[in-house]
Amino acid sequence: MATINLNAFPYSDEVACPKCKNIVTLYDPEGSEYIVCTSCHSFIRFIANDTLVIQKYAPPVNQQPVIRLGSVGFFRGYDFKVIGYIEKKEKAAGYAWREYILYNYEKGYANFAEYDGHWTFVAGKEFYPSLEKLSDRSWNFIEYEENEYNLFNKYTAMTTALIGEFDWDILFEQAKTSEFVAPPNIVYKEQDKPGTSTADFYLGKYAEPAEIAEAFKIDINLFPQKVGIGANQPSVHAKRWLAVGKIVPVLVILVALVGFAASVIKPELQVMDNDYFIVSDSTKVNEFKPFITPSFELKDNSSALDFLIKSDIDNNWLETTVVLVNEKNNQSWEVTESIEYYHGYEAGESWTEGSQEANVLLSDIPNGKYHLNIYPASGDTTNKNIHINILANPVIWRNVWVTILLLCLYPLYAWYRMRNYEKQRWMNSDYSPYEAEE
Amino acid sequence: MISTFKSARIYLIFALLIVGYYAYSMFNGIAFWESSTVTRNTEYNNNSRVRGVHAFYHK
Repeated sequence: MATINLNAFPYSDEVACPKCKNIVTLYDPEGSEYIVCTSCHSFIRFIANDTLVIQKYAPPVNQQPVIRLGSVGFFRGYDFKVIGYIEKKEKAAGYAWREYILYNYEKGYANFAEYDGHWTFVAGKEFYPSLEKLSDRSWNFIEYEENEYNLFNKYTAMTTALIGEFDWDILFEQAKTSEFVAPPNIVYKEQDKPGTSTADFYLGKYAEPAEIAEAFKIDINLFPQKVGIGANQPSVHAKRWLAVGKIVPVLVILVALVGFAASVIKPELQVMDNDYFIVSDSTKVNEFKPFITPSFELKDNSSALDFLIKSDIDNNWLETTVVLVNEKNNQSWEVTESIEYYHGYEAGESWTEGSQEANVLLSDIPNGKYHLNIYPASGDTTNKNIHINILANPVIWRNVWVTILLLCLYPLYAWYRMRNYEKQRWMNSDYSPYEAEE
Repeated sequence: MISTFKSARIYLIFALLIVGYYAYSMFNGIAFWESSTVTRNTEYNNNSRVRGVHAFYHK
Protein backbone atom coordinates (compact mmCIF):
# COMPACT_ATOMS: atom_id res chain seq x y z
CA MET A 1 0.00 0.00 0.00
CA ALA A 2 1.15 3.50 -0.83
CA THR A 3 2.30 5.50 2.16
CA ILE A 4 -0.42 8.08 2.82
CA ASN A 5 -1.57 10.67 5.35
CA LEU A 6 1.78 12.43 5.23
CA ASN A 7 2.42 16.16 4.96
CA ALA A 8 5.09 15.83 2.28
CA PHE A 9 6.69 13.27 0.04
CA PRO A 10 8.83 10.78 1.96
CA TYR A 11 12.58 10.76 1.44
CA SER A 12 13.71 8.68 -1.50
CA ASP A 13 15.82 5.62 -0.92
CA GLU A 14 18.16 3.63 -3.06
CA VAL A 15 18.45 -0.10 -3.38
CA ALA A 16 20.80 -2.31 -5.34
CA CYS A 17 19.39 -4.80 -7.80
CA PRO A 18 20.15 -8.29 -6.49
CA LYS A 19 20.96 -9.42 -10.02
CA CYS A 20 23.03 -6.66 -11.64
CA LYS A 21 23.78 -4.50 -8.57
CA ASN A 22 22.44 -1.44 -10.40
CA ILE A 23 21.26 1.25 -7.97
CA VAL A 24 17.52 1.91 -8.26
CA THR A 25 15.78 4.89 -6.65
CA LEU A 26 12.68 4.25 -4.54
CA TYR A 27 10.36 7.24 -4.19
CA ASP A 28 7.98 5.60 -1.70
CA PRO A 29 10.27 3.22 0.17
CA GLU A 30 7.68 2.25 2.77
CA GLY A 31 4.78 1.76 0.43
CA SER A 32 6.24 0.15 -2.67
CA GLU A 33 6.38 -3.63 -2.80
CA TYR A 34 7.73 -4.15 -6.30
CA ILE A 35 10.39 -2.33 -8.28
CA VAL A 36 11.84 -2.71 -11.76
CA CYS A 37 15.59 -2.57 -12.25
CA THR A 38 16.33 0.04 -14.88
CA SER A 39 19.41 -1.88 -16.00
CA CYS A 40 18.55 -5.59 -16.17
CA HIS A 41 14.73 -5.18 -16.12
CA SER A 42 14.27 -7.57 -13.24
CA PHE A 43 10.88 -7.30 -11.57
CA ILE A 44 11.96 -7.33 -7.94
CA ARG A 45 9.79 -7.88 -4.88
CA PHE A 46 10.49 -6.75 -1.33
CA ILE A 47 9.74 -9.54 1.13
CA ALA A 48 10.26 -9.71 4.90
CA ASN A 49 13.06 -7.53 6.32
CA ASP A 50 13.30 -5.63 3.06
CA THR A 51 14.90 -8.58 1.35
CA LEU A 52 14.87 -8.25 -2.44
CA VAL A 53 13.72 -11.20 -4.52
CA ILE A 54 13.67 -11.30 -8.28
CA GLN A 55 10.17 -12.32 -9.34
CA LYS A 56 10.46 -12.31 -13.10
CA TYR A 57 11.69 -10.38 -16.08
CA ALA A 58 9.96 -7.08 -16.85
CA PRO A 59 10.04 -6.35 -20.58
CA PRO A 60 11.67 -3.00 -21.39
CA VAL A 61 9.43 -0.17 -22.47
CA ASN A 62 8.89 0.61 -26.15
CA GLN A 63 8.50 4.37 -25.67
CA GLN A 64 10.32 6.48 -23.16
CA PRO A 65 7.86 8.14 -20.77
CA VAL A 66 7.01 11.76 -21.53
CA ILE A 67 6.98 12.48 -17.80
CA ARG A 68 10.17 11.17 -16.25
CA LEU A 69 10.08 9.06 -13.09
CA GLY A 70 10.62 11.22 -10.03
CA SER A 71 9.01 14.29 -11.65
CA VAL A 72 6.92 16.30 -9.24
CA GLY A 73 3.91 18.40 -10.20
CA PHE A 74 0.88 20.08 -8.71
CA PHE A 75 -2.13 18.84 -10.65
CA ARG A 76 -5.80 19.57 -9.93
CA GLY A 77 -5.23 20.36 -6.29
CA TYR A 78 -2.77 17.60 -5.44
CA ASP A 79 1.00 17.20 -5.33
CA PHE A 80 2.05 14.21 -7.36
CA LYS A 81 5.29 12.41 -7.97
CA VAL A 82 5.59 10.08 -10.94
CA ILE A 83 6.82 6.75 -9.58
CA GLY A 84 5.90 4.26 -12.29
CA TYR A 85 5.30 3.92 -16.01
CA ILE A 86 3.41 1.01 -17.57
CA GLU A 87 2.72 0.05 -21.15
CA LYS A 88 -0.48 -1.93 -21.52
CA LYS A 89 -2.52 -3.48 -24.29
CA GLU A 90 -5.83 -5.18 -24.78
CA LYS A 91 -5.41 -8.92 -24.51
CA ALA A 92 -7.58 -9.70 -27.53
CA ALA A 93 -6.58 -6.75 -29.70
CA GLY A 94 -3.59 -4.65 -30.56
CA TYR A 95 -4.75 -1.44 -28.85
CA ALA A 96 -1.95 -0.23 -26.60
CA TRP A 97 -1.81 2.65 -24.15
CA ARG A 98 0.45 4.00 -21.46
CA GLU A 99 -0.10 4.72 -17.79
CA TYR A 100 1.90 6.93 -15.44
CA ILE A 101 1.60 6.02 -11.75
CA LEU A 102 1.22 9.17 -9.70
CA TYR A 103 1.89 9.12 -5.98
CA ASN A 104 0.33 11.63 -3.60
CA TYR A 105 1.45 11.60 0.05
CA GLU A 106 -2.08 12.25 1.37
CA LYS A 107 -4.33 10.08 -0.79
CA GLY A 108 -2.12 7.49 -2.45
CA TYR A 109 -2.07 6.46 -6.10
CA ALA A 110 -3.65 7.98 -9.17
CA ASN A 111 -2.49 7.76 -12.75
CA PHE A 112 -2.41 9.37 -16.15
CA ALA A 113 -3.61 7.13 -18.97
CA GLU A 114 -2.47 8.17 -22.46
CA TYR A 115 -3.92 6.68 -25.64
CA ASP A 116 -3.29 8.18 -29.09
CA GLY A 117 -2.21 11.44 -27.49
CA HIS A 118 -5.36 11.73 -25.36
CA TRP A 119 -4.66 11.99 -21.63
CA THR A 120 -6.96 11.05 -18.77
CA PHE A 121 -6.36 11.63 -15.09
CA VAL A 122 -7.60 8.51 -13.32
CA ALA A 123 -8.12 8.04 -9.60
CA GLY A 124 -10.07 5.80 -7.27
CA LYS A 125 -12.27 6.23 -4.24
CA GLU A 126 -9.43 7.78 -2.22
CA PHE A 127 -9.76 10.85 -4.46
CA TYR A 128 -13.46 10.48 -5.35
CA PRO A 129 -15.21 8.99 -2.28
CA SER A 130 -18.58 8.79 -4.05
CA LEU A 131 -17.17 6.01 -6.25
CA GLU A 132 -17.74 3.82 -3.19
CA LYS A 133 -21.48 3.99 -3.87
CA LEU A 134 -21.15 2.34 -7.27
CA SER A 135 -21.85 -1.37 -7.24
CA ASP A 136 -21.02 -4.16 -9.64
CA ARG A 137 -23.87 -4.85 -12.04
CA SER A 138 -23.87 -5.84 -15.69
CA TRP A 139 -25.25 -2.57 -16.90
CA ASN A 140 -24.74 -0.99 -20.25
CA PHE A 141 -24.63 2.28 -18.43
CA ILE A 142 -24.03 3.50 -14.93
CA GLU A 143 -25.26 6.51 -13.06
CA TYR A 144 -22.66 8.47 -11.19
CA GLU A 145 -23.21 11.87 -9.61
CA GLU A 146 -26.35 12.54 -11.68
CA ASN A 147 -24.60 11.74 -14.96
CA GLU A 148 -25.30 8.78 -17.16
CA TYR A 149 -22.15 6.98 -18.28
CA ASN A 150 -22.59 4.76 -21.34
CA LEU A 151 -20.66 1.59 -21.97
CA PHE A 152 -17.90 2.35 -24.46
CA ASN A 153 -15.53 -0.58 -24.35
CA LYS A 154 -14.87 -3.92 -22.65
CA TYR A 155 -11.47 -5.57 -22.67
CA THR A 156 -8.92 -7.44 -20.62
CA ALA A 157 -5.88 -5.29 -19.95
CA MET A 158 -2.41 -6.80 -19.76
CA THR A 159 0.92 -5.22 -18.97
CA THR A 160 3.51 -5.41 -21.73
CA ALA A 161 6.30 -3.33 -20.23
CA LEU A 162 6.97 -1.23 -17.16
CA ILE A 163 9.49 0.74 -15.13
CA GLY A 164 9.31 2.23 -11.65
CA GLU A 165 7.82 0.99 -8.39
CA PHE A 166 4.45 -0.49 -7.50
CA ASP A 167 2.61 -1.86 -4.51
CA TRP A 168 1.03 -4.77 -6.37
CA ASP A 169 2.11 -7.42 -8.82
CA ILE A 170 1.12 -5.61 -11.94
CA LEU A 171 2.81 -8.11 -14.27
CA PHE A 172 0.47 -10.80 -13.01
CA GLU A 173 -2.64 -8.68 -13.22
CA GLN A 174 -5.10 -9.11 -16.09
CA ALA A 175 -8.10 -7.09 -15.06
CA LYS A 176 -11.34 -7.30 -17.01
CA THR A 177 -12.14 -3.68 -17.66
CA SER A 178 -15.32 -1.92 -18.74
CA GLU A 179 -15.25 1.73 -19.74
CA PHE A 180 -18.28 3.96 -19.35
CA VAL A 181 -18.08 7.45 -20.80
CA ALA A 182 -19.75 10.77 -20.13
CA PRO A 183 -17.23 13.21 -21.61
CA PRO A 184 -15.05 14.64 -20.21
CA ASN A 185 -15.36 11.87 -17.63
CA ILE A 186 -14.92 8.14 -17.88
CA VAL A 187 -15.58 5.45 -15.29
CA TYR A 188 -13.50 2.29 -15.34
CA LYS A 189 -14.85 -0.88 -13.80
CA GLU A 190 -12.14 -3.43 -13.13
CA GLN A 191 -12.93 -7.03 -12.19
CA ASP A 192 -11.02 -10.21 -11.48
CA LYS A 193 -8.06 -8.45 -9.98
CA PRO A 194 -5.89 -10.78 -7.89
CA GLY A 195 -7.14 -10.91 -4.34
CA THR A 196 -10.48 -9.23 -5.06
CA SER A 197 -13.84 -10.68 -5.99
CA THR A 198 -15.75 -7.45 -6.36
CA ALA A 199 -15.35 -4.76 -8.97
CA ASP A 200 -13.27 -1.66 -8.41
CA PHE A 201 -14.36 1.63 -9.90
CA TYR A 202 -12.10 4.47 -11.00
CA LEU A 203 -13.03 7.87 -12.31
CA GLY A 204 -11.08 9.37 -15.20
CA LYS A 205 -11.17 13.00 -16.25
CA TYR A 206 -9.87 14.19 -19.58
CA ALA A 207 -6.69 16.24 -19.29
CA GLU A 208 -5.15 18.49 -21.91
CA PRO A 209 -1.44 17.92 -22.53
CA ALA A 210 -0.82 21.63 -21.91
CA GLU A 211 -2.25 21.31 -18.40
CA ILE A 212 -0.02 18.33 -17.61
CA ALA A 213 3.00 19.99 -19.21
CA GLU A 214 2.50 23.06 -17.07
CA ALA A 215 1.95 21.05 -13.89
CA PHE A 216 5.08 18.91 -14.35
CA LYS A 217 7.18 21.58 -16.11
CA ILE A 218 7.63 19.59 -19.31
CA ASP A 219 8.11 20.85 -22.85
CA ILE A 220 4.69 20.53 -24.53
CA ASN A 221 6.40 19.46 -27.76
CA LEU A 222 7.41 16.19 -26.13
CA PHE A 223 3.80 15.10 -25.87
CA PRO A 224 2.51 12.78 -28.60
CA GLN A 225 0.20 14.24 -31.21
CA LYS A 226 -3.51 13.62 -30.69
CA VAL A 227 -5.01 11.12 -33.11
CA GLY A 228 -8.77 10.94 -33.68
CA ILE A 229 -11.23 11.66 -30.91
CA GLY A 230 -10.60 10.35 -27.40
CA ALA A 231 -13.25 8.21 -25.68
CA ASN A 232 -13.86 10.94 -23.12
CA GLN A 233 -12.56 13.95 -25.02
CA PRO A 234 -14.89 16.85 -24.33
CA SER A 235 -16.73 18.15 -27.38
CA VAL A 236 -16.79 21.88 -27.92
CA HIS A 237 -19.78 21.28 -30.20
CA ALA A 238 -21.67 19.52 -27.40
CA LYS A 239 -20.86 22.39 -25.07
CA ARG A 240 -22.20 24.90 -27.59
CA TRP A 241 -25.27 22.80 -28.34
CA LEU A 242 -26.09 22.37 -24.65
CA ALA A 243 -25.70 26.11 -24.11
CA VAL A 244 -27.77 27.29 -27.09
CA GLY A 245 -30.26 24.46 -26.54
CA LYS A 246 -31.09 26.00 -23.17
CA ILE A 247 -31.38 29.52 -24.59
CA VAL A 248 -33.52 28.81 -27.67
CA PRO A 249 -36.76 27.96 -25.78
CA VAL A 250 -36.39 31.21 -23.82
CA LEU A 251 -35.91 33.16 -27.05
CA VAL A 252 -38.94 31.49 -28.68
CA ILE A 253 -41.06 32.46 -25.66
CA LEU A 254 -39.66 36.00 -25.96
CA VAL A 255 -40.68 36.10 -29.65
CA ALA A 256 -44.21 34.98 -28.72
CA LEU A 257 -44.41 37.60 -25.95
CA VAL A 258 -43.25 40.39 -28.28
CA GLY A 259 -45.84 39.31 -30.85
CA PHE A 260 -48.54 39.28 -28.19
CA ALA A 261 -47.47 42.69 -26.85
CA ALA A 262 -47.51 44.15 -30.37
CA SER A 263 -51.03 42.82 -30.95
CA VAL A 264 -52.20 44.36 -27.66
CA ILE A 265 -50.53 47.73 -28.15
CA LYS A 266 -51.46 47.95 -31.84
CA PRO A 267 -54.63 45.88 -32.13
CA GLU A 268 -55.99 44.71 -35.46
CA LEU A 269 -58.31 47.27 -37.03
CA GLN A 270 -60.66 46.73 -39.94
CA VAL A 271 -60.47 49.86 -42.10
CA MET A 272 -62.52 48.60 -45.02
CA ASP A 273 -64.97 45.74 -45.51
CA ASN A 274 -67.19 46.60 -48.47
CA ASP A 275 -68.85 45.05 -51.50
CA TYR A 276 -68.48 47.14 -54.65
CA PHE A 277 -70.77 47.01 -57.63
CA ILE A 278 -68.72 46.80 -60.80
CA VAL A 279 -69.91 47.83 -64.26
CA SER A 280 -68.59 46.34 -67.46
CA ASP A 281 -66.88 48.73 -69.86
CA SER A 282 -68.57 47.93 -73.16
CA THR A 283 -65.83 49.65 -75.16
CA LYS A 284 -63.11 47.24 -73.98
CA VAL A 285 -62.84 43.47 -73.90
CA ASN A 286 -63.13 41.93 -70.41
CA GLU A 287 -62.60 45.28 -68.68
CA PHE A 288 -64.82 46.99 -66.12
CA LYS A 289 -65.09 50.66 -65.32
CA PRO A 290 -62.48 51.73 -62.78
CA PHE A 291 -63.73 53.26 -59.55
CA ILE A 292 -62.55 54.94 -56.40
CA THR A 293 -63.40 53.75 -52.89
CA PRO A 294 -64.33 55.99 -49.97
CA SER A 295 -61.40 57.26 -47.91
CA PHE A 296 -60.13 55.68 -44.73
CA GLU A 297 -57.53 56.81 -42.25
CA LEU A 298 -54.47 55.10 -40.78
CA LYS A 299 -53.53 56.69 -37.46
CA ASP A 300 -50.47 54.66 -36.45
CA ASN A 301 -47.11 55.98 -37.59
CA SER A 302 -46.52 52.86 -39.62
CA SER A 303 -48.85 49.96 -40.29
CA ALA A 304 -49.08 46.76 -42.20
CA LEU A 305 -52.22 46.24 -44.26
CA ASP A 306 -53.72 42.88 -45.11
CA PHE A 307 -55.92 43.07 -48.23
CA LEU A 308 -58.52 40.41 -48.92
CA ILE A 309 -60.00 40.62 -52.43
CA LYS A 310 -63.05 38.43 -53.10
CA SER A 311 -65.43 37.96 -56.00
CA ASP A 312 -68.18 35.44 -56.70
CA ILE A 313 -66.65 34.20 -59.93
CA ASP A 314 -67.71 30.78 -61.10
CA ASN A 315 -65.64 28.80 -63.61
CA ASN A 316 -63.98 32.05 -64.58
CA TRP A 317 -61.32 34.56 -63.68
CA LEU A 318 -61.04 38.07 -62.32
CA GLU A 319 -57.99 40.26 -62.32
CA THR A 320 -57.90 43.56 -60.53
CA THR A 321 -55.36 46.25 -60.01
CA VAL A 322 -55.76 47.98 -56.66
CA VAL A 323 -53.82 51.18 -56.05
CA LEU A 324 -53.57 52.44 -52.51
CA VAL A 325 -53.17 56.20 -52.69
CA ASN A 326 -52.09 58.57 -49.94
CA GLU A 327 -54.35 61.57 -50.37
CA LYS A 328 -51.85 63.98 -48.91
CA ASN A 329 -48.84 63.29 -51.10
CA ASN A 330 -50.18 60.87 -53.71
CA GLN A 331 -47.68 58.21 -52.68
CA SER A 332 -49.08 54.96 -54.00
CA TRP A 333 -48.86 51.19 -53.67
CA GLU A 334 -50.10 49.14 -56.57
CA VAL A 335 -51.22 45.55 -56.40
CA THR A 336 -52.43 43.36 -59.23
CA GLU A 337 -54.09 40.14 -58.19
CA SER A 338 -55.75 37.40 -60.20
CA ILE A 339 -58.52 35.22 -58.90
CA GLU A 340 -59.44 32.06 -60.72
CA TYR A 341 -62.02 29.57 -59.64
CA TYR A 342 -62.99 26.50 -61.64
CA HIS A 343 -64.90 23.39 -60.69
CA GLY A 344 -66.52 20.46 -62.37
CA TYR A 345 -67.46 16.82 -62.32
CA GLU A 346 -65.30 14.35 -64.19
CA ALA A 347 -64.99 10.55 -64.17
CA GLY A 348 -67.36 10.26 -61.24
CA GLU A 349 -65.46 12.76 -59.12
CA SER A 350 -66.02 16.45 -58.51
CA TRP A 351 -63.04 18.77 -58.63
CA THR A 352 -62.23 22.39 -57.87
CA GLU A 353 -59.28 24.55 -58.80
CA GLY A 354 -58.25 27.96 -57.56
CA SER A 355 -60.13 30.19 -55.18
CA GLN A 356 -62.60 33.08 -55.13
CA GLU A 357 -60.31 35.23 -53.01
CA ALA A 358 -56.72 36.48 -52.76
CA ASN A 359 -54.66 37.95 -49.93
CA VAL A 360 -52.04 40.68 -50.22
CA LEU A 361 -49.85 42.04 -47.44
CA LEU A 362 -48.55 45.60 -47.59
CA SER A 363 -45.84 46.68 -45.19
CA ASP A 364 -44.74 49.90 -43.52
CA ILE A 365 -47.60 52.12 -44.64
CA PRO A 366 -47.29 55.60 -43.08
CA ASN A 367 -50.20 57.26 -41.32
CA GLY A 368 -52.58 59.41 -43.32
CA LYS A 369 -55.77 59.41 -45.32
CA TYR A 370 -56.01 56.85 -48.11
CA HIS A 371 -58.35 55.62 -50.79
CA LEU A 372 -58.18 52.84 -53.35
CA ASN A 373 -58.28 53.10 -57.13
CA ILE A 374 -59.64 49.83 -58.48
CA TYR A 375 -59.33 48.57 -62.05
CA PRO A 376 -61.21 45.27 -62.45
CA ALA A 377 -61.13 42.93 -65.44
CA SER A 378 -62.85 39.58 -65.71
CA GLY A 379 -63.65 36.80 -68.15
CA ASP A 380 -67.21 37.00 -66.87
CA THR A 381 -68.65 40.39 -67.85
CA THR A 382 -71.87 39.57 -66.04
CA ASN A 383 -69.95 39.63 -62.76
CA LYS A 384 -71.37 42.44 -60.65
CA ASN A 385 -69.46 42.30 -57.45
CA ILE A 386 -66.04 42.69 -55.90
CA HIS A 387 -65.44 42.61 -52.16
CA ILE A 388 -62.49 44.34 -50.53
CA ASN A 389 -61.49 43.88 -46.93
CA ILE A 390 -58.53 45.72 -45.41
CA LEU A 391 -57.15 44.85 -41.99
CA ALA A 392 -54.66 47.23 -40.44
CA ASN A 393 -52.04 45.94 -37.96
CA PRO A 394 -52.56 42.25 -38.70
CA VAL A 395 -50.38 39.72 -36.91
CA ILE A 396 -47.49 39.32 -39.36
CA TRP A 397 -46.98 35.58 -38.99
CA ARG A 398 -44.22 35.49 -41.59
CA ASN A 399 -42.12 37.67 -39.26
CA VAL A 400 -42.77 35.30 -36.35
CA TRP A 401 -41.85 32.16 -38.29
CA VAL A 402 -38.82 33.69 -39.97
CA THR A 403 -37.50 34.97 -36.64
CA ILE A 404 -37.91 31.54 -35.02
CA LEU A 405 -36.25 29.93 -38.04
CA LEU A 406 -33.30 32.34 -37.85
CA LEU A 407 -32.95 31.72 -34.11
CA CYS A 408 -32.91 27.96 -34.73
CA LEU A 409 -30.34 27.97 -37.54
CA TYR A 410 -27.24 28.08 -35.35
CA PRO A 411 -28.62 25.61 -32.77
CA LEU A 412 -29.40 23.19 -35.61
CA TYR A 413 -25.86 23.62 -36.94
CA ALA A 414 -24.41 23.11 -33.43
CA TRP A 415 -26.53 19.98 -32.99
CA TYR A 416 -25.39 18.65 -36.37
CA ARG A 417 -21.70 19.26 -35.53
CA MET A 418 -22.16 17.73 -32.08
CA ARG A 419 -23.81 14.67 -33.52
CA ASN A 420 -21.08 14.19 -36.13
CA TYR A 421 -18.44 14.55 -33.45
CA GLU A 422 -20.16 11.96 -31.25
CA LYS A 423 -20.54 9.59 -34.21
CA GLN A 424 -16.80 9.82 -34.81
CA ARG A 425 -16.09 9.24 -31.13
CA TRP A 426 -18.28 6.16 -31.05
CA MET A 427 -16.72 4.73 -34.21
CA ASN A 428 -14.02 3.42 -31.84
CA SER A 429 -16.58 1.54 -29.78
CA ASP A 430 -18.39 -1.77 -30.21
CA TYR A 431 -21.34 -0.29 -28.34
CA SER A 432 -22.07 2.74 -30.51
CA PRO A 433 -25.64 4.04 -30.22
CA TYR A 434 -25.27 5.42 -33.76
CA GLU A 435 -24.71 2.11 -35.53
CA ALA A 436 -28.36 1.15 -35.51
CA GLU A 437 -29.21 4.37 -37.37
CA GLU A 438 -26.90 3.74 -40.31
CA MET B 1 -26.20 29.60 -15.99
CA ILE B 2 -23.24 31.94 -16.36
CA SER B 3 -21.28 29.22 -18.15
CA THR B 4 -24.27 28.75 -20.49
CA PHE B 5 -24.19 32.44 -21.42
CA LYS B 6 -20.42 32.31 -21.78
CA SER B 7 -20.51 29.36 -24.17
CA ALA B 8 -23.25 30.94 -26.26
CA ARG B 9 -22.36 34.61 -25.99
CA ILE B 10 -21.80 35.21 -29.72
CA TYR B 11 -25.03 33.40 -30.56
CA LEU B 12 -26.80 35.37 -27.86
CA ILE B 13 -25.62 38.69 -29.32
CA PHE B 14 -26.91 37.75 -32.79
CA ALA B 15 -30.10 36.29 -31.34
CA LEU B 16 -30.86 39.47 -29.42
CA LEU B 17 -30.21 41.55 -32.55
CA ILE B 18 -32.65 39.35 -34.48
CA VAL B 19 -35.26 39.54 -31.71
CA GLY B 20 -34.67 43.30 -31.46
CA TYR B 21 -35.33 43.84 -35.17
CA TYR B 22 -38.30 41.48 -34.97
CA ALA B 23 -39.77 43.55 -32.11
CA TYR B 24 -39.15 46.78 -34.06
CA SER B 25 -40.87 45.35 -37.13
CA MET B 26 -43.83 44.00 -35.17
CA PHE B 27 -44.46 47.32 -33.42
CA ASN B 28 -44.11 49.28 -36.67
CA GLY B 29 -46.09 47.09 -39.03
CA ILE B 30 -43.05 46.13 -41.09
CA ALA B 31 -43.28 42.76 -42.78
CA PHE B 32 -39.91 41.10 -43.48
CA TRP B 33 -41.18 40.97 -47.02
CA GLU B 34 -44.46 42.12 -48.48
CA SER B 35 -46.48 40.39 -51.17
CA SER B 36 -44.60 40.14 -54.44
CA THR B 37 -47.51 41.67 -56.32
CA VAL B 38 -46.99 45.03 -54.59
CA THR B 39 -45.31 47.83 -56.53
CA ARG B 40 -44.55 51.04 -54.69
CA ASN B 41 -45.00 54.60 -56.01
CA THR B 42 -46.12 53.62 -59.48
CA GLU B 43 -47.34 57.14 -60.10
CA TYR B 44 -43.79 58.47 -59.91
CA ASN B 45 -41.43 55.79 -61.07
CA ASN B 46 -43.46 54.91 -64.14
CA ASN B 47 -43.16 51.17 -63.58
CA SER B 48 -46.84 50.41 -63.64
CA ARG B 49 -47.52 47.00 -65.11
CA VAL B 50 -51.20 47.47 -65.75
CA ARG B 51 -53.05 49.45 -68.21
CA GLY B 52 -55.19 52.33 -67.24
CA VAL B 53 -53.52 53.41 -64.04
CA HIS B 54 -51.98 56.57 -65.39
CA ALA B 55 -55.16 57.59 -67.07
CA PHE B 56 -56.88 57.64 -63.72
CA TYR B 57 -57.06 60.75 -61.61
CA HIS B 58 -56.61 60.73 -57.92
CA LYS B 59 -59.08 62.43 -55.66
